[in-house]
Amino acid sequence: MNFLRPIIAIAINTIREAARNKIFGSMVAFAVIVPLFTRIFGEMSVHQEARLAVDITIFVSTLFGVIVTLYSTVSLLQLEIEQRTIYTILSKPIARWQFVVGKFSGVVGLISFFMPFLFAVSALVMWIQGAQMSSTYLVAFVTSYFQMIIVASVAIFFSSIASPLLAGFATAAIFIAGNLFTQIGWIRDLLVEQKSTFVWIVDLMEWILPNLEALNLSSQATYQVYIPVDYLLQATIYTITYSGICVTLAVIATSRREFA
Amino acid sequence: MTSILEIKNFSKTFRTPFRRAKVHAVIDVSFSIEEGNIVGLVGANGAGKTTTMKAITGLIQPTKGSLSMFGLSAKDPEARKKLGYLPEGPYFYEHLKPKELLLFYGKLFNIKKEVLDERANALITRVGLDHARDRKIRKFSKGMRQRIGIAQALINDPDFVILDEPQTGLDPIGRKEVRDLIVELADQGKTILFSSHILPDVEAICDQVVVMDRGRLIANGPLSKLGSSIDDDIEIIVSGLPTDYTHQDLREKQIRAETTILRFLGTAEVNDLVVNLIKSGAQLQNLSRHGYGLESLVLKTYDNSDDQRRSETSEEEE
Repeated sequence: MNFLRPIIAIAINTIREAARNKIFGSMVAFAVIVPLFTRIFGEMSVHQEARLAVDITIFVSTLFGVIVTLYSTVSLLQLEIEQRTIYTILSKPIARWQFVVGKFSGVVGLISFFMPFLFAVSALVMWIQGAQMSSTYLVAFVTSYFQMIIVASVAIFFSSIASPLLAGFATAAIFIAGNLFTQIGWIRDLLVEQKSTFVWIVDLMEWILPNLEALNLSSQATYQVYIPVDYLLQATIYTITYSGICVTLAVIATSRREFA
Repeated sequence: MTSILEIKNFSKTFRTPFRRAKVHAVIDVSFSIEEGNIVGLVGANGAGKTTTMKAITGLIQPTKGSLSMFGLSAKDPEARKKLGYLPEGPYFYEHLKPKELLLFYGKLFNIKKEVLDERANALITRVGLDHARDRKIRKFSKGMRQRIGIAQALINDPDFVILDEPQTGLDPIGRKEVRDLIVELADQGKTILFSSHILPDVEAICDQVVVMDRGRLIANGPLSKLGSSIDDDIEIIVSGLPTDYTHQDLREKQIRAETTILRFLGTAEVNDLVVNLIKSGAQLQNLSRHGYGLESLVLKTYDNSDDQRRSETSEEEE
């Protein structure tokens, strides 16, 4: 298992780098604090405080979690290239896939580190609002975690082929589009009805985009709908497969890249 | 002696963004490095030194030709197990302290924890950074960064060390320390390839010099051999020389207050020159063969390659 040690070293260094980065620290702090303010929305909704608290805490936690994931993935990989620290890594006896997988593992480690904080703060808000905590609420956070892993993998792919700004925008666009699968379905129905030749584009989008909407369980958590174990298993397989494909593409792009 | 590095007909062409115009960074370069040698890679900025070093370390792939290290292709990560590399103007993880940095790089080599810990401590002392053990690299000066860069290049106790301008940013004492370190590494049996613009240092310690100019290799070999391949100048210092004095072998004339320094082609007949000068009314003050240092050798080879290129261009135009 000698090939694992460099990957672990790169992953730990990525976590350490982010942990010692003031911007990253501020963003995590912000992401953790923001759900506390959702109480204001609760007060604005007469007799719906508890329901709204469930919905908004999940939404806000996912949104800010994704922003932190996006920032850390795009900036940490690009910093390696811009600051040329990558020269000192790739000139060591490691393969490029080990570098990419190490970086990705580091970002996943970061997400795993701050997700419990997001959950704890959201649970606190729920308690203040008098909302009932269900198992679905916990599952919704798990699938929110899956969304962040997919976002990280998409960001690492774009970072390997584009500038940080472009990679950031492209990933954000994919995150938004991935949460609009219902609307994409409506567009498809409309195009089919009009017998449009552009149906294939929508079909292609449905194939390529990550179905993040399927991983968004905020409404199920609000109405305390039971989530079967099968769903969680499928969501896990989907997350591993999708992020695996994105990381593989990032490995291919990095292997072909020249660090002149 | 065994060859540590073999470069055969290496060429590297880059394409500019947008216009996709070709830029020939290295053109058909071949040379090898024997085990235990100190090799200096010299040339002006843009000569192709860094590109060559990056190809050796696998950071870029050759457009043409091949590079092999320890008998393995430079592309193979296995070939880099015994390699130490200091890139030009290195940046390191700013958030780490020196020992943390060395431990991180050591783990990339799969070095055992106990060995790594001991080696990291020894290297920090060796490069003179004991006083900065608790300081993050963010707060390091340029010279200190260069020192920690050298330490990370040695963390795996490499057999072959590549240092890209290791003396840049160092004060004269630091430069001397790097030079001494290179010699010390060679005494331990390591092979060193380093690039530098400080030619007297290259001249002082190198067994082999590789001179590059605009992507081409223009000289390669032991300095003594390279120097003798170009004739020495004959330098004659005279007084009372008529200002309009000229000679077919005269290369350079420097008029001073009371004397004139004349440089003739090394192929000229010394006796004839002396007779000619005396006949013209000059008094001989001094006569010497002016041997080439690396600096004059490099400048001369640049001139030659320029002349050659000009003639090639004019031939092409014709």
